[in-house]
Amino acid sequence: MHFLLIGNPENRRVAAFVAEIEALKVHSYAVIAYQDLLDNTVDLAAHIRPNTIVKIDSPGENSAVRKGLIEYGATLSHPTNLTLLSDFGRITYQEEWYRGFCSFLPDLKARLLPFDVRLMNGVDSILTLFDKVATKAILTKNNVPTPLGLDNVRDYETLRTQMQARRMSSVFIKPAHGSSASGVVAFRTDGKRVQAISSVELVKEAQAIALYNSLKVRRYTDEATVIELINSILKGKTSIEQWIPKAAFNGLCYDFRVVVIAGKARHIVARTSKSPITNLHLGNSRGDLSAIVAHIGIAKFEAIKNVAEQTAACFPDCLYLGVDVLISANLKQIMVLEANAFGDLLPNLADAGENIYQAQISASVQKWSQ
Amino acid sequence: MISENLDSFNGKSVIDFDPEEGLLKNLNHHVYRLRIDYDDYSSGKKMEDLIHAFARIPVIAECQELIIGAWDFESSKRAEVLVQTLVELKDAFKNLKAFFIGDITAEEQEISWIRQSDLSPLFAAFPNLEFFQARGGDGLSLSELKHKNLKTLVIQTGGLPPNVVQDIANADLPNLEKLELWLGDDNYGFESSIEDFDAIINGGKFPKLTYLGLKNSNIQDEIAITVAKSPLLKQLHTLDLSMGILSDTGAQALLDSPNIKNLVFLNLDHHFMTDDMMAKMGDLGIAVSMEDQGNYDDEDDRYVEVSE
Repeated sequence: MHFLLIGNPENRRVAAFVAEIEALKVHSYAVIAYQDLLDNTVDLAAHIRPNTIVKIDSPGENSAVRKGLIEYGATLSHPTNLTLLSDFGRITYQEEWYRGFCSFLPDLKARLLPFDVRLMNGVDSILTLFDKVATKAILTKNNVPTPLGLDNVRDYETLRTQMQARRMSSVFIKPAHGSSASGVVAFRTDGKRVQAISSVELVKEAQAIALYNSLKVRRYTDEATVIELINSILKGKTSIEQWIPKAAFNGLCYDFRVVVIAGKARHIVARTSKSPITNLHLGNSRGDLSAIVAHIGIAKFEAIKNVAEQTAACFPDCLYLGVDVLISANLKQIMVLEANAFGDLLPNLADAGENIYQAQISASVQKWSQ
Repeated sequence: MISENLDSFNGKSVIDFDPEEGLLKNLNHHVYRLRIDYDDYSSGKKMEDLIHAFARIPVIAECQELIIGAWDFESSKRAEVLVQTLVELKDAFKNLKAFFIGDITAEEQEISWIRQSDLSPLFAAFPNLEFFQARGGDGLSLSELKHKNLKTLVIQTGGLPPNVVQDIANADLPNLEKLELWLGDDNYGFESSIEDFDAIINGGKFPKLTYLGLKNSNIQDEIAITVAKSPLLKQLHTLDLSMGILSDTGAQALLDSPNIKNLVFLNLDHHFMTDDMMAKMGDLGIAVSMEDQGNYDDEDDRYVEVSE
C-alpha cells in the first residue's frame, strides 16, 4: 500500500512513522510538509497512488507552520496582528490558530477529494477534537462519563458564583483549543482561600499581564494573582470541569493515556505526577502499569479501556485516538478527561508485539486493502 | 505520604465504607474509612450521617479501628461536629483502639485547609485507644490530653499551632511510646520557639517513649541540637528529624551527642546536609536514612516538606 504522511518533516513523529514503513519493506510512502501546503508549492498528484492512506499528523512544534496556519485563518473580517508571535512560549493566538486550522484542513480535504485516498483520521473529527467544548458535548451525548462541567463562565466572579452554587470546590480550566496542558489551570477554593496550579508563568507587563508556557508546574495562592491568571485564560473559549482527585499509587497520582486503534484499546501508559497536571512533558513519567493494574484490579482496568473505546466510537472516522482517562481517588469513578487526534506519540511502547505506528499501519492494511 | 490515602492501617487493609453496601468485610482483616467524596459533597451528604450509618451496624461494637477521611471541601465545617457525633456514639465504638481523623490527600484538600477542632473529647470517650492520628493544624487543639492507654500519638500539620505544642507539653500520657509531630511552617501557623519544646524533650514527661519524631520543621537544627543534649536520647530507639530543614549545624550536634549511638534508627530524610556531613552520618554505626538531599548552598531556599 501507499502511505501519505502530512506533517512537519523535521519532527520525530514523521521520522518514526517513516522508519516503520521502511522497515516493513512492503509499502511505499510520501511525506508532505505542512509548510509546503501552506506555501501552495505541492503537486498532490505526484505524491498519491491508487489506494493511498493519508495520515494527517500534528502540525505542532514548528513556529513557521503555526504562523502560517494563523495567517491562513486571518481574513478581512478577522484581521490578525501577529506582533506577539515571535515571543517564545507566550500563550497567544490559540483561537486564531484554530480558525486557521479550521480553514486549512477542509481545504486540504477538498484537494484530496479527486484522489483515491483514505484518511486514517477524518478532517472533521480532527477539528472537533481540537475543540474541547465540542468534544465534551459529543461525549456527553453518547453517555461517555466526563466530569461535571460549568458553562458560560467568562470571568473569575462568575466562576466562583457557579462553583458555590454547585458546591464544587475545585475545577480544571482548559483553553478549548490548547494542547499539551498549555494554559490549563487547576483551581480550588475552600470558600476563602484560593489556589491555582498551572504550568502557566505569569509575567507582569506595563499594561497587562502576559502568559507563558513553561515546563514547571507552579502554585499561585495570592488571590489577586489568581484572579489575573484566571481572567486572562477565561477571555478565550474554555472548557471548565470539576477537578476530581485522581487515584494515587506510591506517592504519585496518576491517570491513563489509552491509544485506541481500530476500535480497540491498545497501547496504554499510566501518567504519574506529583501535581494534578499529569502531562508527560511536565517532568512527569510513565508509571509501572502492571503494578497499578494490580492495585486497582483487572475489572476496573477493563472499564478504563472500555470508556476509551466508547470515546473512540464517537469518532468513527478516526482509525486511532489518544484518550485520557482518570480513575478517582476512591477508585469508584472512571471518566474521560480528553481525547486527542494526535495523541499517538508514545515511543517504545508495545502491545501484542507492535508499537503504535506499527499497529496503525497494520490496522490500515486490514481495513483498506482490497 | 499525604499524596495518597492509606491502603493499610494497624496491619489491616483499608476500605471505604459505603452505607448502601453495609459491611462486606471481616473486621479482623479490614479497616473501614468513612469519607465524603467530592460528589457526595456536591449532593449534600454529611459525615455525621455517615458515622451514624456506620455505628448502626451491630457488629461495629467489635470494631477496633476507624479512619475518617475528607468531610468538607469548604471552610464552613470544622471537625467539631464529627467529634461530637463520635462522642455521642461512644458506646457503639467502645472497642476502638486505633483512630485516624484526616486521611485526606493534598489533592483532596491541602493540609492547611483541613479544619480541625478540639479533639480531646475523643480521648475521654474512647478509653481503649492506643493509636491516635490527626492531620491538619488549622483550629486544632488537644485541650485535655489525658489517656492511660495511648501508645502512639501522630499529629501531621503544615503548621502546628502554639496551643497544641502547649497541650502536648502539658499532656498526661503515661504509656506513650511513640510521639510524632509535624511542626510545619510559620506561614501556616507554626509560632513556637525551641524553648516551648523543653517539656517534651527534657521534661521526662513520657517515661515509655521510644520513638520521637519532631519533624517537618523550620527549626529543625535547633530541635536536633536540643535533642542531642537531652537524656531522653538514652530511652529512644528511633529519632525522626525528617522532612524539615536540617543542615550541617543540627547534624553536627547529633554527631557530637554521647547518646546518639543508643538509637537503632535515625531518620533524616528531606534534609540540607552537605555531602561531607552525610558521609560522617553514614559512618555513625547506626541505621541512618538520608534520602532527598536538598540544595544546601542557599540558606534562603530551604523549605519543609509539607506546609501548604
